[in-house]
Amino acid sequence: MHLVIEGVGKKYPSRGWALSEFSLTLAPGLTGLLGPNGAGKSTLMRILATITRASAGRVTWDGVDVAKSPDSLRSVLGYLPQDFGVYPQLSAIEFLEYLAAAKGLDSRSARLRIAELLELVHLTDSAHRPLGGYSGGMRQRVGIAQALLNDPQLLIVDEPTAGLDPEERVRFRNLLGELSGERIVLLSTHIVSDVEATASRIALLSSGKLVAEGTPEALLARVEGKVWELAVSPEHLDDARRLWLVGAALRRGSDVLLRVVADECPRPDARAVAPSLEDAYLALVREDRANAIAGARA
Amino acid sequence: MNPSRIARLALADIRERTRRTGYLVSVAVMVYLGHGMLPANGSTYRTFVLSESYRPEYGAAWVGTLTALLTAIYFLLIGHYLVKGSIERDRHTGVGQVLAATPLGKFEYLWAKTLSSVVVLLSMAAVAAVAAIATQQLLGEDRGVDLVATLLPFLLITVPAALFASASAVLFDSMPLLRGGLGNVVWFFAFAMLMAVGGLDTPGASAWRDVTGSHMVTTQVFDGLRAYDPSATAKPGDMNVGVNVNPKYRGVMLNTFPWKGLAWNAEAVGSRILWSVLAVALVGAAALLFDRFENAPRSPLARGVAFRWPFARVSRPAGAPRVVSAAALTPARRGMTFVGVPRAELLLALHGQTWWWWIGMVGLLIAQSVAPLPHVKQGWLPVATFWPVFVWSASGQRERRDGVAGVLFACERPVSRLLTGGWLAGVVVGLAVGAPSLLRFAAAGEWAPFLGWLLGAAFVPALALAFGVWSGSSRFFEVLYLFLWYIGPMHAVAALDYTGVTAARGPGVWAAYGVLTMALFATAWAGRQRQLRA
Repeated sequence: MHLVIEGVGKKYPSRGWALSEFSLTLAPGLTGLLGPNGAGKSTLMRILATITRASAGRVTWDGVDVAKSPDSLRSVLGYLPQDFGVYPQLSAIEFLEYLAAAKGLDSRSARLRIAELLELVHLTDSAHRPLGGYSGGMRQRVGIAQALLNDPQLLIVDEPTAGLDPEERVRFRNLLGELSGERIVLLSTHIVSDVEATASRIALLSSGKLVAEGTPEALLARVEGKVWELAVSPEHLDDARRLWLVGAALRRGSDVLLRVVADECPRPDARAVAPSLEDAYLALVREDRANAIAGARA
Repeated sequence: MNPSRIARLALADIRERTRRTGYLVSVAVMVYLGHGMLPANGSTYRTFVLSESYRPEYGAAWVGTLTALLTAIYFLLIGHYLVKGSIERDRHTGVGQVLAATPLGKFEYLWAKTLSSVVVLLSMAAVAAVAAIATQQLLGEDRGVDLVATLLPFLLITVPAALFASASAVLFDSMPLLRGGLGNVVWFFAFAMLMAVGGLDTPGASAWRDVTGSHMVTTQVFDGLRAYDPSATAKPGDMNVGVNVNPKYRGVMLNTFPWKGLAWNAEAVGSRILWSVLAVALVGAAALLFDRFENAPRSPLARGVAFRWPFARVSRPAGAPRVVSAAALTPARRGMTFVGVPRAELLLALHGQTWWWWIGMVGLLIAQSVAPLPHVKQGWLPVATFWPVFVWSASGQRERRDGVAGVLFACERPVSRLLTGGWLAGVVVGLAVGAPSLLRFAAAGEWAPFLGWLLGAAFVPALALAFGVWSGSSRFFEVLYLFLWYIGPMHAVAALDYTGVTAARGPGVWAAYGVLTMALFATAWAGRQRQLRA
């Protein structure tokens, strides 16, 4: 079971290449796709979910080109799009029954699975209410349930934790971690903590290109010894942001404690600290942008 | 009221509307219509019938007046539908909620919407005017260019009509019951009523009662004719403004007479001001009814009936352990899908229909069962064929409207399984709504109407599906179907009677509907494929 993405690109008439020369091979496990807004994550997700065709490159599922034979992938695919909508007149059960039919599932087993999925996402009590009255987080949980309806081998979830409260977010992250054991899970997000805990691999996308890819440890190694903590007064905060790549700023008494990513020690009183994935993310995105600007100037 | 704020709101709305593909299509249609509004002498159709032997010469004044008048009628009938829905768009996109949280007043907002609609319509009128001037030069009856004489009628005739069409659209958008498909139907009949009230042969006819401006133009043109040829005669009932197609017109060369243009007398100007004031009053009424994007509970009339799915109450066995992990889920099994998808689509289509829709449906089924068969053919079945219009019109675009397309298009065989399932569900609805008639036709051995409605039940969902997929909106199908239904089954025009029940059909019409049904389905199929390739 493997999904191979080879040199995939997508060009839109209005805005040029949203994604270019993206290559990655996915095997069972959870891969986190990180990137800032507009990096091309959703475009890639839509191509992998077979609802958008790539302008360049190809995607194969177990050796079969999904552009030529999309149903080979669709039959084993669970997909939660970023802009997931619902039929507002239907209840959660009715909506999932509808999608079970669309996915070609046996109605008898689907009924039981739907009841279980609703229990899993904590919607049993609201299962008979029209979806039009659901909150954003509840709708998102229906989206998660529908993605799991056909017990997919490939699960693609695009910004799945948007709108979820912290408790549900943790629960969903754990669920993804559990699911990733025997299937390929691709989780797209710009929230680093969503992938930090569960991803076995991380791909970083910026400006439509793959910037970095590897295990979380490998990404952390790239900023090892480059993360510092130092305190500044609030009036110097703007200056600090101009000078350094500031990851976090926490109020500590009358000062602000900054987390700075820099190759050299930014100030004699700065203290080296262990890097986090968020530090690596910020550093790599900043590096990519600097390269892009330098490239444009050249 | 802040005029600057209204202007800025209207400007943003104009930008939003004119940057849509639909606007470009409307402009292209207008170029075609602008050219077609001036048929050459001897054509098989006429757009202005004054007498059997005369019409005004295509000079600058008449070209402007006729184009302005026909554009006004077009705006009142079609323009209303073109500009309707902008408030609903703000509701759908969430922009409405943002606006509602500002000090913006209801009247300001609605007036900005009206203003932007008027500007959009008048931009189309400008296109029609240019096309008409070009046609005037092509036809060459009188090539004299007089922009004042050509364009002034637009100010007198078209602007008030555009204002009335826009204001009525805003009023309908402000009323929960009329902002959707029902409003489209209601406007069609409201327009017919307005035309009847202002008709030339209506007792007491006058320019004051005529929203289109036809009365004013026709009487003044007739006065011009009498001045040119005092012996000329015409009856009000014979005069007509609109598309009059008649094969006997072919090759008939009408005499032409010079016409100097409209006299801006008190009645002409006063009547147009009156209709403009009425339009402003409509916006005022809309302001009273507009909910300012408050999420008010739906009115009892608009409330849907929960159409429970047969298996909707299924729950897990009592005492079953609580599912806390994915590993505990029942395995998913693939099953038969031939019945499953059409069934699911059918239940989805019927879900949420209002209680009065169901009562009407039951009433129509009873009427078809008990009424004498000729009455069923000429009355009850044609009415019944219109009843599911909103069930059909949702097909092909519902998934995109509700943001479900991403999930559905990622399912296996999204075209062959889902699109066909949606069409089959529509066919079932068509067969169900005419079921008593079908049974009675079969019992009476009347196979032509029986087969006619079978084909009709396949044709209408294919039409809905094709329009839904390609336009992404239910409105185009609803309006087109309304026209088709009104002219075809309701007026027994064989070529347009898709039911095949009210008028005898020739083999050509049978074949045409068969081919058209397949072509429409193929068009929907191609449209869905295109969406998947996007």
